[in-house]
Amino acid sequence: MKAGKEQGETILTLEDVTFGYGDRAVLDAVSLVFRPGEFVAVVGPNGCGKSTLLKAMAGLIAPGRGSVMLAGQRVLAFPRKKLAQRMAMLAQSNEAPAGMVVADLVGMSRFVHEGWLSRGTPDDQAHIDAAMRTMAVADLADRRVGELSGGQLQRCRMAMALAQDADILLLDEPTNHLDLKHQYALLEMAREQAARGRAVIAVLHDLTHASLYADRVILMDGGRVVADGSAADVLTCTNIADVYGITTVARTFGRAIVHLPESAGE
Amino acid sequence: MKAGLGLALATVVLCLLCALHLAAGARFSSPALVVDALFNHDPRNYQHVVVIKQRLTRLVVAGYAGAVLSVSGLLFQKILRNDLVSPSTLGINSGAVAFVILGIYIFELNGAALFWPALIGGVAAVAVTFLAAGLVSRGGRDPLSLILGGAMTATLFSSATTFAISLDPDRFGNLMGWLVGDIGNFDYQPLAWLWPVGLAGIGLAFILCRQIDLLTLGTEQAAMLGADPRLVRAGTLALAIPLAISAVCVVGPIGFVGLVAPHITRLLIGETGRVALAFCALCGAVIVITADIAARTLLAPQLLQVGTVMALCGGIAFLVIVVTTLRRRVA
Repeated sequence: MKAGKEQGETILTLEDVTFGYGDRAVLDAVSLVFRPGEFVAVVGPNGCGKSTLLKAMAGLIAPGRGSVMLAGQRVLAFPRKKLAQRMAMLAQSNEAPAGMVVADLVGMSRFVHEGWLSRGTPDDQAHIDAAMRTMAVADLADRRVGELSGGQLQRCRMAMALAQDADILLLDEPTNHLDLKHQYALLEMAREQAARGRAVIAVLHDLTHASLYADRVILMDGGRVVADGSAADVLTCTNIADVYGITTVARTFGRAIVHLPESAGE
Repeated sequence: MKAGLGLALATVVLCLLCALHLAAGARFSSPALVVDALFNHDPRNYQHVVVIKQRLTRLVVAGYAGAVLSVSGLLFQKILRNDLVSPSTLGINSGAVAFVILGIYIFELNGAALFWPALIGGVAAVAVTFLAAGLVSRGGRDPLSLILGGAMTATLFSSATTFAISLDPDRFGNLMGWLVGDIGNFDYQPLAWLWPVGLAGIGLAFILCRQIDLLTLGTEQAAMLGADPRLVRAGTLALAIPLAISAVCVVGPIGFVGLVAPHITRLLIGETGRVALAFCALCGAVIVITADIAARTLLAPQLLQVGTVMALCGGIAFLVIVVTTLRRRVA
């Protein structure tokens, strides 16, 4: 476990972050704090600003108001390479070129640790191999991206993000394209990364996943943070009805909270 | 194919073709004669002179043009993430030619000085192509928009060229070969000035290769992996355009090699990394040298223009690439 996991230490802070296209506010005065060693799930209906929130954290968009601070410095002030040494992201779009070899794809993220002369070091290879084993894609190393199924590619891209070896992992709908087994494997992996002292922040669609794996759940609606806390506190029937506009009954299985439509609960 | 093996094979093929290029011609020279002409040159021996002055110089020009055009094409295809772009399909060739003709007509430039109007023409063509592509864009990233824009740009600049020539046809009589793309016996003279452009361009492409590879994953992903997308894209354009221009200045608008060589590279060894870049350069040299051998031997003793040979073969290849690209998009 990495040093400095004690409560109170923050790694990423959002203060009053507001972002919009024209008059439409996509993020509306969002203030959040993230700590190392936390697995945070961001949930909310389509178009509530979840993905935009991740982009703002990653310095891919400049908020109209407010700021995102990483270790006391504005994210936007970081040179991209310096920022990428601290923060990795699994984006939603799948744009890897079809002709690229999987081992090369995963190795792309090692760029952040390369100097002009030091590349392809044993350390680089060790990280690439470990990441590919973790995501169970080691046997795909010699395949071309175009030959992969959607799920295989998603796992390879996750391996790429892991090999980047950053303190902060931003995951935008990481379970996309994955089958049941790999969905749970990915979520286990994310929790394990958090246990090693990383801050893992994932946009999730499945509330059950969020309740089962995340240390903390952030519920968003219309660009605002509606609730932020433990799954039991956030994923209440009242909140769900307010945000998703559907009346549900909640069932719990251990940690997991399952929201079913009202009709199914009778 | 393993990348290293591919590179070794391409080198062997290139060497064999160079030997064939020096030996083949209107009259076939024996290998012994070629070796003699190279290492034991006798300026009074006419056949020695043919091998050196007519074949070796052409060989160097063809190899240079093929290599820089292919690397330029690969760079464009990577940063624009569009398999159909190349110096010719982006209109760069036509833009350079138009400005060279204007440079000759208005400022009476010649020789290596023509590099500058050609470069301006190339940059202008890329700007017009992007602009036109933006206008015809049917939303999203349609690879055909840029090609349509490039075709419009090429037509525009070609008509400017034709117009300028028609004002004073006699003055451009000796440029007819260059206008369709040809390797002349004296083309090594501008190359003697321009080769540093190619060397520097390819060298910088090797240095920037990693960042350019990151950009093939998309702008946001590249940014998250530590590259500055705008900087890398601008820098790569600043390499790819002069590379193509340095070839156009020497041999004229030879098309398609910059389109086809990257595709062959991708097919055989993939597109990632420095080995692929080197392979692409060798592949381009092989293509143009082969075209030059064909141009000199198909209708011997008459010479064909390399540009004509390339346009014939390259046009067919272009069609195949467009069709497969569109099929892949539909699927």
